[in-house]
Amino acid sequence: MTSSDSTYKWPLQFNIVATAVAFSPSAKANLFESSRIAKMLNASMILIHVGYKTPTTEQKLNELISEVGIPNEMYTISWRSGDPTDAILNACTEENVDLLIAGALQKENLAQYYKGSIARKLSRKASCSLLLLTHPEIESRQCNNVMVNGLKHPKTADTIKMAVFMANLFKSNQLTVVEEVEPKKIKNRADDDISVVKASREKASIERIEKKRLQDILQDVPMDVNLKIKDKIIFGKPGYTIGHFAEKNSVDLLVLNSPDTKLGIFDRVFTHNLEYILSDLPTDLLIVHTTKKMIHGSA
Amino acid sequence: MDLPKSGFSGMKQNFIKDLYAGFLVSLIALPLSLGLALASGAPAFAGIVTAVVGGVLVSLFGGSYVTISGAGNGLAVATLAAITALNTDGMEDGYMYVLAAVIVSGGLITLLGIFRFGSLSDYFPSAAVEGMLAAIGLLIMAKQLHIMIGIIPPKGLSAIQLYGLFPDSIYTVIKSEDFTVTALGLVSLLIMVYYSKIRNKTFHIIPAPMWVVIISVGLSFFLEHQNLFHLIPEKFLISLPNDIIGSYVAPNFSKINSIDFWNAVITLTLIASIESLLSIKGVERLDVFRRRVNTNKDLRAHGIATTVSGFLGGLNVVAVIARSSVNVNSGAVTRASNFYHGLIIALAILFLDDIISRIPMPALSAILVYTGYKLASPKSVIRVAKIGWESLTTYLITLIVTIVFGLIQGIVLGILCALVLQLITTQRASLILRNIFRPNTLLYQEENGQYIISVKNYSNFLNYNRLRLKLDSIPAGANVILDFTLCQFVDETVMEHLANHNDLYERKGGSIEIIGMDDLQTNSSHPFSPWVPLIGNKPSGKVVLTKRQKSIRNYMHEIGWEFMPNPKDDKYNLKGFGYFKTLEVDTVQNKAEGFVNNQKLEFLDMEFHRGEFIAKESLRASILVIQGFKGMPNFILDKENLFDKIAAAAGFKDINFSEHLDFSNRFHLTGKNEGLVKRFFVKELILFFEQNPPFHIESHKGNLIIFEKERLSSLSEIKLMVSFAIRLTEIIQRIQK
Repeated sequence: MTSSDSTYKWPLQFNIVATAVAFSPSAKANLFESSRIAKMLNASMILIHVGYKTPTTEQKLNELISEVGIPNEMYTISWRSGDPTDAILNACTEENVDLLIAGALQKENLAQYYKGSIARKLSRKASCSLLLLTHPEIESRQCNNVMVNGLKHPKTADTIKMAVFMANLFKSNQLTVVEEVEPKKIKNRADDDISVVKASREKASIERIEKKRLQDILQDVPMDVNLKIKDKIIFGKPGYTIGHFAEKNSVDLLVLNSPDTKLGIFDRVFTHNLEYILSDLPTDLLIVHTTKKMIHGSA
Repeated sequence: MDLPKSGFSGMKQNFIKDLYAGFLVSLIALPLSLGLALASGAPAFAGIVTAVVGGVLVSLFGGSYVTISGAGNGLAVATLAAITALNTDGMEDGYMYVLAAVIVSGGLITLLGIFRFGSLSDYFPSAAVEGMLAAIGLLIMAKQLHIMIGIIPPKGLSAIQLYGLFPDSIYTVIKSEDFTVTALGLVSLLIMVYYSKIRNKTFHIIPAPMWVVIISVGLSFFLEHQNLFHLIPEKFLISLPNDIIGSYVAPNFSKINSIDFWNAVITLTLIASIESLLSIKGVERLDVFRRRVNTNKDLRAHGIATTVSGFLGGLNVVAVIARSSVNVNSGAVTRASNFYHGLIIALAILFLDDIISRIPMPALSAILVYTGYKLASPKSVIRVAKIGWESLTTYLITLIVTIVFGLIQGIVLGILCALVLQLITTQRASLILRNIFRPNTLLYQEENGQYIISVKNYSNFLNYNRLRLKLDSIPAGANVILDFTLCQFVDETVMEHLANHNDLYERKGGSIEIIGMDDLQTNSSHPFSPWVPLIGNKPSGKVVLTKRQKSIRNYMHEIGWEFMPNPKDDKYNLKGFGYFKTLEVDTVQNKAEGFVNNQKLEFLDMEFHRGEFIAKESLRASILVIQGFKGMPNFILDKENLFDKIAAAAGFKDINFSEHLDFSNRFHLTGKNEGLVKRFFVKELILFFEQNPPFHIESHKGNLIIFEKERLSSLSEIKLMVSFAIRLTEIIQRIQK
């Protein structure tokens, strides 16, 4: 476990990590990457295999697992059948999974697979946090640059804490908190020379208020001295802008609030459209699932 | 230049200038309004109403500054079609139904303005717009050519039939014995054509259309004096109502349930809006004060004026570019000149109606033929053809469909044609179709305040509007870097819009620098030609440089460096450098090299990537490489930033100088051999770094790389970097001696 564990009290803890296993090259890369992350988190793993349990598949699966090098005491295999997405979601609920890592499932063409409905379905229905990997690799790589949303939403504080935790875990050196402000919030429309000036002034004042808010959230987040924290206010379509910004700035991991769908407490006025990002994954994406239980745990 | 005051004080301040300009404009507007009304198939008086209402109301409610409003060319064609369609069988009553259509279309235009559709004209491919304008020119000329030579063609003929009849008309004229009317038309045409070629100041005080009016009215007085007035037949004289109130034609709404009526309304609304918006944008670039026009407000004003004009028996009020340009050239400052122009025309019609009704139609037709020719001149075809064959195809299809089927059909087909051609030529059909309705722009400021706009996927006429909104929200005079790195193609409409936008920016002291297009290619050297991806293994033989490449080349030549776009040899091994440890160099897009005391400096625009698997992550940067410093220790110098972790991974140590606190605070210096690095960083070098902007500098085995950002640099950034590198090289050379 990282050194941070003993000193910080995190609202969220990833004790059980799940991922799907299959035999394609991309699925193998996904297993490497997931097991690496699970080891860093010191979590146990649930390996979900969608398919019937036969001696041959069991044999093959064991070979794969030993090749990746996951110690026996660290994992259990969950055999499932039926529609892959539903099977995985059910396994997560039943096994009390905290984090589902999804990189590659059965299908070969992962890019296509995830860009479509599966990522969306998982993010909407998963009862746990979700890490979507755009390009899992067999070799380890750097995760320097982490970005997190700074949305005005009760979940955000926990999401930011989670992002800081992950950044520390990956020994990243930069964390950017991005707040997307809907341009409609600027009352002065930039129509002519005078209104442009007025609108810029209004923008600057919105920026000051938002920065103050982000600073307040960051104040009670304990963090590593090596981690540089930046905040950025961008005026643009919420849900889209942060993805484009992450892609433009070669971000390695993007951390977002979970969408407000079920589970009640925040599901009324606040909406955050993940659609744009999910359909065009700009980078690895962690969707932090905050639930009532977890919030109470942190209090 | 100080901006003129706005509102009433501005009107007072510039009273003389605006009045003079308004007067000159009215000299052109009067004959044009009469002519356009006749070309529309409406009474001549309708044109006058349009100009008066347009001038007075748009100047009161509008958001533009030096735009003139009145009857428009495109509208003449649209109105003629509407009147023909709305005529009850065998009757000439279409005009009163069209008045009702004008009123409704005025309401719709007002709504377009209120709901901020001022960007409507952004969605049309420029080639289709050019094609439409050319078609309008040809459609206007079709009928007016006949009238100009003194033949009134039969009614209800299509433009093609009218052109087909033209030889017959010429034959009829030659056969007849009276050439007075024909001669008048031809002389008028000659005046219009040769006006600009005559270099006489006194002659140019009066604009060409007014000369035509003066000469023809003069002729009519002369003929009357000689008792030869019968030489100008009655049918060639324009009829103005003697009793304006008594001859008022009320709009008739009884056809409001017919398809023809709504077809007319939609055509009028769409063509009026496009014509106005194009003119407003065009005039904005003419304005000497570079004031930005509130297009939505102006559109709304034109809608209000159109409704009022319709009630008073006038036509659609649109912003018109030719009259506006005269307005600007005559020194107009505020929108009061538009008001005066309307007022002067109103006074003229009240007090000079005798004179005005002496203007023979062939003279007005000559003015219109010239206007039509200007719109459809071969020059416009050549210009479009130079942009590329795709533009030419769109242009021709729009033109032909408009003439054969109508304005709406033409513009719709033009848009479809441009889209289909893009789907084919870029081979990015699914990308285009998937992302049509998705956002694709990002605007933010870097820490130093630099505005960055990044465009993703593609940039074409369908989504240019989103890019324009971002550009518009940046205060005037700012420098903007427009990054197309994530874009797979940029079309000609966007290039043209950007060129115009840049023009406005530069005049206000800012600039738009385009980066990230160097990996795309184009087939034509025209500045507006589209930039598409290299397809297959068959790049076109000709290499056309982007504007950025050209400006880098010019700069490099200025400082005596050699510039090589798209160099073939890309064997750059930068793996030794910490930053490039995990990166793979793909290509070098641009390269330049020069020497400082026999030491080679290289500038590179590089593309590299991280990761090999399914989706690799592409990065780009502009980098300077200096080779061959003997005995220079390995180190990394960086402002406390992103890159410090890389050094840590390579086993480098932090190095601080107790005697240079400012340097140690601002920079992050790491190296393997602290002693060597400390010895190398003498006071002169440290002072140099302190005085200059922080770059990321790495030294490895006697080679140096310098760069700033994980994106391609703009020209001004490159200049800074190159001059930094040259001075750094000189200093290190001096130290090593």
